[in-house]
Amino acid sequence: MRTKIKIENLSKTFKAKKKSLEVLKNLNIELYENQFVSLIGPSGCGKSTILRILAGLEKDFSGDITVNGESIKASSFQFGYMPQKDLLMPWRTVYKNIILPLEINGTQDRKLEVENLIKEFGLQGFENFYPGEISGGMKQRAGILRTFLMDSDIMLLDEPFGALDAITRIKMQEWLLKVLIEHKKTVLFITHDIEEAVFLSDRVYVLSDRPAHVIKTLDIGFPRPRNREMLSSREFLEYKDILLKALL
Amino acid sequence: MKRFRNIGNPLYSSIAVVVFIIIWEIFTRARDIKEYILPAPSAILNEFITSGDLLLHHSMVTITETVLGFILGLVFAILLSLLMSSFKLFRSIFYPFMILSQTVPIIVIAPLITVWFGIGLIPKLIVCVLVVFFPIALNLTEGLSSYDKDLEELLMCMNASKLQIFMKLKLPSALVHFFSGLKIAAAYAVMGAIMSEWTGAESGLGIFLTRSMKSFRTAAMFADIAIISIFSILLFLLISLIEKKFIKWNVKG
Repeated sequence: MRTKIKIENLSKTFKAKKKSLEVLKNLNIELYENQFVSLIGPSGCGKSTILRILAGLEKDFSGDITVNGESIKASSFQFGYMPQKDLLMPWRTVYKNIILPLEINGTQDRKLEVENLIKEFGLQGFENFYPGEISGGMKQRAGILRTFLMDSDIMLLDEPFGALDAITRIKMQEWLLKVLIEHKKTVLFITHDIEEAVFLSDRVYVLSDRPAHVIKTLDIGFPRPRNREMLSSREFLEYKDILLKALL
Repeated sequence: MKRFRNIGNPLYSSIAVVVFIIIWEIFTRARDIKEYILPAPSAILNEFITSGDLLLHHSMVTITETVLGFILGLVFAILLSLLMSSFKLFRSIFYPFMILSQTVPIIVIAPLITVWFGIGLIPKLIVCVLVVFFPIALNLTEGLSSYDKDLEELLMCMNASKLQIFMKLKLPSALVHFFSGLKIAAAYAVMGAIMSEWTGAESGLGIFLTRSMKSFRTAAMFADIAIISIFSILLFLLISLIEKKFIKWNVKG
């Protein structure tokens, strides 16, 4: 398997006036192609900062990050980054929100492809609604589809299902797995939900409290495609238990 | 638009107005009130008919002053806000002056402007611009900086240019603020024109009002006031209509 992202000795300190806050310390993470990797850890431990560094929003850090073997400081690799909030523009319809990345790149002649994706994402019929008029689950679908159209084979998803109710959440998880397999994406996923991490991931990194570093790496051996029945299997509970112990 | 809808059912308020006018008519007739104190609605209506040409002439003057002044003030305000939101230095120099300019009541400056620029159209436009630009510039400047910073970052991740960020994020975010500024400015513009006429003019609804007052033609004053009010309301409605075209989404959503 080819290494997609390699993060070595990543450290990051925020400096504000006289105070400084060490957020990340000697963090090491590796992602292989088509792998689904989750980061799990206490809230406020700096998980989002890792994604922000990858997405190029935080320039000032120490350590090495390579994507496809190239340092991200040298290249300008574009990730499909989805921040924590759904961040749909309230003045744009669902459709207009989805095609935002295409508008910005100046490529708008992909109507057919977009239409197919809208069907696949279960958003057909909602194209002309405004974000204020659709449910939380639908908003997340639209947000993920917009991230898809950023045309990257690596997706950085920051707690996309954090604000959803339990039932919608499970449905969205199954749906996400299906979509990702079909489109061969490499995913770095942030969550604070242990079950979600086990169910979705090939590998889970458990991060410590601030300054965050990896305290546990767990490979999840479940085959793909995965289904809901796995949630109640003995192995699943064992995985959960390992992660819970690492976190507490 | 929410606020506007909350005004209530227009049918009921229309009925209320009609009832009010009927009571007014009966009251003035029954008590035999002098016309220079309180003219009956029928007398005011009569004034509209007999002085129609005169009222039309004065109305056109004031409407021209207001509309031109409003447009000039709007252009000026947009330029100023764009500069202030694009250049930090410009903003830190001129923003305090903009606020300061509003602490001096326009009504004390208007006579000075008449001294400098005479009694023609120009001083009216200057006063209008002075009262109109502030609510628009203030709201637009606030609006242009009220965008979601996280959305800006997301657009940066999509490699959006500065212009794209402005057009796709900052400008649409500012629209709601901008239109509330416009609505306030519309009411101010009418007031500015009338006030400026009072400090010196040959014609206009403001002049007609003071002339009627001096000759105890109270019915003519009422007719004048009615025209000014209707004009103000129409201006407000026009802006609300344009707002509806631009802001289709549910603001609260």
